[in-house]
Amino acid sequence: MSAALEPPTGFLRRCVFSTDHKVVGLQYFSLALAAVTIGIVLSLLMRFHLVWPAAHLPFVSRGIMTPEQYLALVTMHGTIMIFFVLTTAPQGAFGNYFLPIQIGAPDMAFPRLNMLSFWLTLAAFLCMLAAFAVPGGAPISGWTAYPPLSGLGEVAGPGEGTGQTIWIISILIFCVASLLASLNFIATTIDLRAPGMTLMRMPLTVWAWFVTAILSLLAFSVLLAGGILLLLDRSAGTSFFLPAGLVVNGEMQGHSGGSPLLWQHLFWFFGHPEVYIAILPGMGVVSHVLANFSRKPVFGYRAMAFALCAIGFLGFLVWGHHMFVSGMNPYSGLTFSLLTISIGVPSAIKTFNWLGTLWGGTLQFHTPMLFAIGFVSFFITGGLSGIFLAQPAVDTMLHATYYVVAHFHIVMGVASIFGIFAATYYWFPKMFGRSLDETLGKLHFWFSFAGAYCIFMPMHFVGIAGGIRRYADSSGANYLAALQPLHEFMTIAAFVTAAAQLIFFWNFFRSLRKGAPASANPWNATTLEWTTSSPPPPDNFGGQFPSVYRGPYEYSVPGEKADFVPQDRAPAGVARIGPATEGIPQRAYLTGTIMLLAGVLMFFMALVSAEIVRRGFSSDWRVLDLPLRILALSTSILVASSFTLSRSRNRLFANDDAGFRHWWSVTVILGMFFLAGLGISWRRLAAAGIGIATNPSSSFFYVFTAAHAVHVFAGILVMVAVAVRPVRQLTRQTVTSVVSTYWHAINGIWILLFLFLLLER
Amino acid sequence: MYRQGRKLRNKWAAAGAACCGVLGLVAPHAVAQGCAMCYQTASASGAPGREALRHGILILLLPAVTLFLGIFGLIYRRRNQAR
Repeated sequence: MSAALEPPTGFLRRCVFSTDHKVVGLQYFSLALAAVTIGIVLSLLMRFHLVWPAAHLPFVSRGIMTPEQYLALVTMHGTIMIFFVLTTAPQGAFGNYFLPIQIGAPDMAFPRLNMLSFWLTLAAFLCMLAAFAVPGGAPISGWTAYPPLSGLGEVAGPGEGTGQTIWIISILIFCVASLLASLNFIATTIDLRAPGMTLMRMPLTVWAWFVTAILSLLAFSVLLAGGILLLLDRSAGTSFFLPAGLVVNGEMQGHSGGSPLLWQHLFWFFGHPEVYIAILPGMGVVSHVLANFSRKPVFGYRAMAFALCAIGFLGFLVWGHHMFVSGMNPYSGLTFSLLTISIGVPSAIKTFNWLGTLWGGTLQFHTPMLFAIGFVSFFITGGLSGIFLAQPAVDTMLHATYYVVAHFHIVMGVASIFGIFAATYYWFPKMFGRSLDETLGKLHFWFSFAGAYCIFMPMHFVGIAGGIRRYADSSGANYLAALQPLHEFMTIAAFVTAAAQLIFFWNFFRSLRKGAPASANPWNATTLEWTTSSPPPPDNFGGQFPSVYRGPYEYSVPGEKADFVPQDRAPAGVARIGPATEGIPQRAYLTGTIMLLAGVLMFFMALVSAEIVRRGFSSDWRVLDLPLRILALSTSILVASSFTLSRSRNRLFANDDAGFRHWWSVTVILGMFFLAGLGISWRRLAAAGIGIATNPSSSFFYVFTAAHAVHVFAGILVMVAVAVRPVRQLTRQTVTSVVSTYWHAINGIWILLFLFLLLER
Repeated sequence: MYRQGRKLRNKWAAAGAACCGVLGLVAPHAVAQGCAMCYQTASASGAPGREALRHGILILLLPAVTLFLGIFGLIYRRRNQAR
């Protein structure tokens, strides 16, 4: 037993700039609540306009909504819901709050980074909202921001000026925040587990957050690269995504040879895994809740854990098949198809195992259980409607219709949100020490459940009948007139469902103050979060860190008095495992660095992939006359810096402080020489009249080198900072190992980039 | 008895795999689960474009899959390491 951690004093340190993962989790939760409220209001405005297009709306300039304003609502509703609700709430809020507690850790591996992730996400959210307030308003290019519309600027229509630029900047900030958060989740899961918490004793929620974090790490890096290229198309005159000969509103655009398909290539690498980023945490929560309220172990725990991993893995292959064109060898397309279709196997395993968990259980229909069952219902419904879209011939017909809207709203939106509600009702007593009102909770469930089906089931039929999505007003088309009563029904259902959410808000805010006090374990659950007080103390366990002896779902164990056995209860006759060490293990810092480098590698691979695709699609590619001598010299200097850094590390391990400092300083100087070399090559190119927008090869050269220079500069800054002031909590050996790993990897990436630049000549 | 059951299982597994293989061989164009819009745009581009896209996809896919498996390799190596 160690001394309990004292909470920080002062409002700012305790509630605003707190590094406590529980406070950060609540901050994410509040952000998601604000975002979902705005998202719902936007969707109601859209539904209202679809049914009564000529009606005067109070918040719209000149009263009647224009088609562009409708498209702006479509864009902002999609973006806010997908990024700031479905990505933020299940992972950022509940993952942050409960992952460390469920694995028996005092906090996340990098608490300050955790705080920074939240504040960056908030900055991204405020930036996104600011798009409403700028001249021209919010962008109209949809949440997928397809070019050319999103790349052209103001000439493309209202919202495509400053609004679209702000939108891209917001997404870029969000990507950085998500990358930092995901490496934190991965390092925490790998290195901060309590003694006895083996992989097969981790709750399925932890598995889900872990797999989601890997997906985020790899997918958001690529979106970051794509977003930067799009921003350059808009602001620097490059032509990554914009084709030649575009005439917009009578104006000839000055771009040449870009391909909108390149954006689809990069965007959907993120877009496909994003579906799983949104739904996987919900799957974890639902498995957790179903076991608890069925008083049964999860049916096929191992299969469930493997299915989560398989869904994450296959999520990337789904993307691969998205555009993989059968050319020379038709079997290559088939391989991707079969791999893609195989994602149905783990999804089916999960569904059957949920039903298997319920089967024969002592079911307790508390509100979290209802929402968990609702999740399963919507997941099955959405999955079944997806089968039809999987057939290309049918997809071609349904692609631009409301059928697709209904499908993805049910499977990605409603199912995920039911997962979020299940988590909220389940963990509210733990988070706030009070209980939510069960009657109001059940009322909220039934209205939401029936309401969501009333909105989205008729929407399928509207789609099949030819109702086209994204149209602001379909009243002018005669063949769509017969669908108007269905639209009216859906709109009324949407308003009723939205009103039902007021029940939730009332219940939530009222229970914060007046809810019945909750005990430490009100649901008689088994996992570690229920072994500590409600709400948990600052270090989660009041100095008594747990050891784990059992699996996460030991319910109704024969021979036990109670129908649940907590994970930290040692079986009779088994020796107790020693308590965990205090603080963060040094190896976690290295794990975090490796994860950061994985994200960096994906970022650069996205740029390389973009160059290959761009070159293949263009006729305007010119081989660049690079200042090769300077670049080769810079490369040699960078390689030399790796050797000097290794020498510095060796000196440290040999307890030669002076030698360590000497070689450390030499490495910093060599790094600066490398940057100077890059600066000289840019200057040479500029002097020859070759700018970033001159031709696509120069655009990629500047992007590659600038992006790499930023990483080298960051490495130099860290080295200088470490030399000036020792880092708390880290030994010098750890710091040196971390910096060395980063530096060698960044140098390795440069060598690959340099070879790539040489090869493409 | 156990060995016999195992042999039977193996036979069924082999038969299943053979069926899948035959299906794949006879229906190479029965592709499913693609985005019809992206697929059509991509296939409408010229041969260099299609080839570039294929390479671009593989270049992005291979590191992603490798890193995904690598992270699982790391957690598996540390499966018994406690804090």
